[in-house]
Parts: sequence; structure tokens; C-alpha cells
Amino acid sequence: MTFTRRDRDRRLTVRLLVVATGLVLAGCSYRGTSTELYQPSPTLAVADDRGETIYRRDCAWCHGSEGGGTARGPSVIEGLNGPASIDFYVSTGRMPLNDPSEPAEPSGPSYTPSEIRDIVRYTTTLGAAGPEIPEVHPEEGAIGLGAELYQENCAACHSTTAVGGVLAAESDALARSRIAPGLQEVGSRQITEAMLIGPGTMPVFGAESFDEEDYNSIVAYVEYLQDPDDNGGAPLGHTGPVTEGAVGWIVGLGATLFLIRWIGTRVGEE
Amino acid sequence: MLKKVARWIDNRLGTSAFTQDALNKVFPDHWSFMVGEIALYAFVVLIVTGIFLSFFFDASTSQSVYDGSYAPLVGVEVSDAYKSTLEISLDVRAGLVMRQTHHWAALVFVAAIVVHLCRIFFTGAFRSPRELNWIIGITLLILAIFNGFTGYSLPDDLLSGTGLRIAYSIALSVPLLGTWMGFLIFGGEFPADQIISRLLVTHIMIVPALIIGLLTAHLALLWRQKHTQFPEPGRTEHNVVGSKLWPTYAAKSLGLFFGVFAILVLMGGLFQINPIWLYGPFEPQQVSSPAQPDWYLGWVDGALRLFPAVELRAFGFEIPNPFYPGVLLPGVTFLALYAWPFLEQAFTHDREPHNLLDRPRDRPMRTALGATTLAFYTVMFIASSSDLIAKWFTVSVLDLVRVFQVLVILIPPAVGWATYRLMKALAGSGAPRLTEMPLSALTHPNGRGNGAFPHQERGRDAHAGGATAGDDGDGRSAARTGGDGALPAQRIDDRE
Repeated sequence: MTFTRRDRDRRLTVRLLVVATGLVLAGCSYRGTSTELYQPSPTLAVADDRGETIYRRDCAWCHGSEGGGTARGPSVIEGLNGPASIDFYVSTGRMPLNDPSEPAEPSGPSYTPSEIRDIVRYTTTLGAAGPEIPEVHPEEGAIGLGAELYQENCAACHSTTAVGGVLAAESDALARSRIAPGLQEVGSRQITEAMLIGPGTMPVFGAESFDEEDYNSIVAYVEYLQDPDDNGGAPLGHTGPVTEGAVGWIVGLGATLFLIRWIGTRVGEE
Repeated sequence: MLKKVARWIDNRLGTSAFTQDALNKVFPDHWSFMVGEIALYAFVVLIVTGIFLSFFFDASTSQSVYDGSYAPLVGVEVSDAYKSTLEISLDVRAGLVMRQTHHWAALVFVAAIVVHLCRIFFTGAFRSPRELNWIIGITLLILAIFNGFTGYSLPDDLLSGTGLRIAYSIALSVPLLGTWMGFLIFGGEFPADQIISRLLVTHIMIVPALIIGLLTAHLALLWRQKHTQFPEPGRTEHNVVGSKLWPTYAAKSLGLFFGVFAILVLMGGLFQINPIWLYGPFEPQQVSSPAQPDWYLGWVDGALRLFPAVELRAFGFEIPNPFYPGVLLPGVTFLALYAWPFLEQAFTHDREPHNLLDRPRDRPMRTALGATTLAFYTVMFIASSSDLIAKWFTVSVLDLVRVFQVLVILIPPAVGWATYRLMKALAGSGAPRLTEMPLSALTHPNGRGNGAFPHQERGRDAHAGGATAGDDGDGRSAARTGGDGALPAQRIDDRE
């Protein structure tokens, strides 16, 4: 088999295309976050109380042995910080961090539910005063009321379909203040805790904003949005006209262009 | 029986001679000549599904408490427009597939018009004597975009209300007239009660009537002036080589119609579009997120996001910031499009009629300018999803906007320069197609006749002297075009 110069050039074109495609795909896979696991120091003394052991081992380095905070991290017992706040940060995996400069982003929790209960109980003995862990009963809420309250108070940042959105923050702002996270994976307790304590840039929606029925209703609507009536076929990520436009061009116009190329001829073709 | 009816009609109207002529009309074959037909058939789908939707839509903003079948909104106060769209989507039999097909057809309709416009531009089909049809085509594009936006705004959900608020703000930004215009169009201060019913009349009567009228003129002019064709052996400025309308082209076109219809209905059934039940009803104090227009207004949205925060005062009046990206840019865009055939004539001094098309490489400067323009609008179009891109890549959206502000200036000239070089190289290589061009041509753009394609000269003059033949009724007249006889079984027609 012999190759002419034209064949070689063609193969080069194909290779360049493959490389370009690879680069584009590699660019798309970039997420900018590392997922290194938290490694507690093995040299810490073990206390009788499991919550105290974990707190001293994993939290005290930044938040202080009495919970009052250090230069590396804020107090966990002042203001709205307390059981609801600690349960929220730990059970959504935002805490603990490997390094205080890292963004506090949601991921899987590092502890079992009973360990988290112990941590929270221990911090209350330090004098944490903020809201208690709420009891949520979304089944008692009115979903229509929840829809109204969600659209009015939450949708502008977390998006109408709860897929999350961005906040207009400068690049030197903490990463957690750049986005309003999507709510697809959040549990009902954590949704309510977030409203009570206002983590990151989120405002506080406390007792002066909502009553118990409001909380239950909002949680009911968010839970509905996590698995909504998806009539009409593939939901395309619930992100609206951007993905719809891409499908319109690629699938819609793409298929019709394929069709006319199939029906039609090109120059030199019969 | 059929013959009898035909004879009866012919005796009274004398239609048979015209029909005979029409059925024998020759259309040149090239796949890209059918892009406009995609738009035409998408428009037919829009009308069919739109009529269905109009049976059930109620364009009223009067509010009532929803108590229909969609449980999550029971007890919520909604407008009749939103309620009827919910009913179309969730209660009316086949309502959702009709609504979704209508919406997908709108996206494909405008997309096909834009691709058709590109085909006309890059092949020089707008040149004399077809400037009029170019102008009609640009008007059709504007009307299509406008009608898309009015349709997007009808359901009175939170997303469309956000879009209307932006449109209202753009109207307000026009110096001196803005406030009056906003009030005139909306019937009062936003959100005015009458806007939905006004939008409906515009969307289903005024603009469609204009589109149908101009579309008819567009096709009549095409019929009268006959279609352009690519230069090929046997094809000259004075003939049309291709298939007869009946049966060949009619069969192709009918097949395309069914194909487009099938694709759009399939999309309507398989892909969710604009799930307004999830977006919720519009409330003036609320705003949806992420909020984008449908794709064909993405470039305006992107321009609004990218335009720097400049406010100028002239003669004591402030020119509000959205005026530049929201009014001036679209105005200049469409004016430049209208003027293009005449601008090019002024630059090239070529006012001769042309029935043979250019290949993009034949006119590297035009092709490069077109690519530059497309790149400019594409960057703005992508910038309209800056919030989603920032979220997906967890970067600061403000940084991203600054990056796009630089890219929108840097990328278009780079694309233009690269296109120019590519077209020069392609023309120099003599390769019949871009994919067959040797890469060495890029480094030696003037290496014409470098040996790769010695027999592929397709110059416009190569066959310009070929003889032409008129109708001879047997459909095999191509054999009479002279020595090369390249197109057997093709049909040839004289141009007047």
C-alpha cells in the first residue's frame, strides 16, 4: 500500500482534528476543585466524649478549643452559630476543611449521623447559642404556598428550577460566595438550617420572615423541584434557553441539514 | 373524471399552459439550495401547531386563583394567560407536544434562515439582479426574530416576564422617545395589563401576515429571476441546469417537507422545552434565574452583558446605557445587512447581473468579512450564557464578562485573518474541496498548480461559452451543451 502526499496530508488533517477534539474535551472536564480527603492528625489525645474527641481533633485547630474562633476560622458559638449551623456545615460536607483557605463546598459528609449528633451536643456544652436543629415536616406544608415563597425569595439566586446560579462576586471573593448551589441533593433538614443561619452570602430567613408552615411549605416545594413532573421528554438540565438553543441547533437544524445533504447533491455529483 | 374536471377548469381559466410551464420549471441541484426550504417548512409547522394552540390560549392578564390539575400551583394566583398555557401543557390532549413542537420549530425556523442567509452571502447570490430578494430576506429574518420574541413572551411565566421587562427597559433607553415608546407599546407602565393581548394579535395576525406576504414575494422573485447555480461544466450565466419541478424536484421537496415535519414533531415529543409549570407565574417583583432569551436574541443579551458601563450626555439629555447594545447595535446590524449588496457593488464596481455563484474561495475578502462578522455575533451569543458558564466552571462571572469583553474585540479579526489565509490557500491549491486541500497549501498559498489537482480548474470562465439549449421536452437536452456533456439526465432551461 502506498501513500501519496495527498493521503499523508489528509491523515495529518484527521490527526489535527483528533488532537483539537481532545483538547476541547479536556477543557470541558476542567472543574477547578480538588477532592483530596481530609486527613486528621493521628497524634491527638482521645477524650472520653466522642464529640469532644472529634471536635478537638478536627475542628479546634481553626475554631479554637473553646469554640471562640482563631485567626484561621470564625467562632462556632457566637451569633447564629450553634447546633443548626454546625449540623448544616458538617452534614453537607462543607466542613471540615483540609486547609482554611479552601472553599467550603458541599460534598459527602465526613462523619456518620451519630458522630455529627455528638459533635453538635459537645459544642452546645461550649455555650453555642444559635438556632436549634429544626424539625421539618414538608408533608404538613402547602406546596402552592411553598412555590410562591420559593419564587419570591429563593429563585433569583438558586434558580427557578433549583439548579443553582452564580452571584456577581469578584474573583478574590471566597469561592462559596461566587455561586448559589443547586438544591437537587439537599435534605429537608439542611434546607431549613440554611434558611435559619444564612450560610456564606445567603441572607438569613429567620422567624421574622417565615413561620413553621412557611418552612414546611418551602421545603415541600424544593423537594418537589428535586423530582418534578417532567412532562414533555428529556428535561435538558432544566437550564432553560441555553441548552434548548444548543439542542435546537445541533439536533433540530443538524438533522434537517443532514436530510437535505442526503436528498441533495453537491457540485460534481449526479 | 379527473381529466374532465381539469378540462372544465382549463376551459374557463386557461390554466393548463401555465401549469405545464410550471411543472417543467428547472431547479438547479445543490443540497445547500434547500436550506431556505427548511425554514419554509418549519414555518408551515409553526402555522399548523400555532392554529392548534390558538384554540386554547387565553391572552388575558386578569388574575385568578389556580385550581387545576397541576398540584404544586394550586392556590396560587395566576393570570389567565399563564393558566391557559398550563392547561395546554398538562390537560389538553396532545397540547404539550403541540406547544413543544411549535417552540422547537421556532428555534429551527430562525436557525435555518440564518444558515440560508450565510449560504446566500458566502456564494454571492445576493448580487445583481437579486438585491431585492436579499432585502426581502433580511426583512423576513427580522420578522422571524421579532415573532419569536413575542411568542416567547406570551405564556406570562416568570422567564417570559423577565424577558419582557428587559425589552421594556430597552425601549425606555431610546433618547427622547423612550418613555413614550414604552408606554405606547405596553399600554402603560410595566407590567401593563394590555401587553399580553397586544402581543397575541402581533404574534398570530400581524407578523404572520407580513411573513406570508413577503415569503410569497420572496418565492415569486425566485421563480421570476430563476435560481442561481454553481459553475460547473455545462452551466452558464444563461442557462439553468437541474431537475424539473415535476416530478423530480417536487418529490425531493415533498420528502423534505415530511422530513422536517417529522423531525420537529419528534423533538416536540422527546425534548422538553420551556417547562413553564416549573418556572411559575410572572410576578413583577420577581426575577427568574438563569434568564436567557431564545437563541436568536442571545447576541443582544450578550451585548447587554458585555457593553461597558458608559453613560453619555448630549444636549442635556442622558443617553441611557442599554441604548447602545440594545438599540444601536441591532439597528446597525440590520442596516448593514440591508446595505451589503450595494456596499459590495460600490467597492468592486461590479454591477453586472450574475447567475453563476461564487465559491467562498473566489472572493476571499468577502468570505473573510463574513467570517469576522459571524465571529463577532457568535462571541456575544456565547457571552449571553456567561452566568451558566461561570457556574459550570466555578469561575467569577465578573471575570468571565471581562474576558468576553476582550474576546469580542480580538476573536473576530483573528477569525477574519485566518479565513482570508485559508481561502487564498484553498484557491491557490486548486483542491475541489476544503477537506481535500493539502496542508502544504497553507504555507505556500500561491502554489497554484502544485501538482495535486491538475484537472480541477473550475473557473467561472472555463465553460462560460458553452452553448445553451431550450426546452425540448425530453429532459435529455444536456447532451447538446457541447463537448464535455457532463450532465446527462439533467434538464436545461434558458434564462430570459
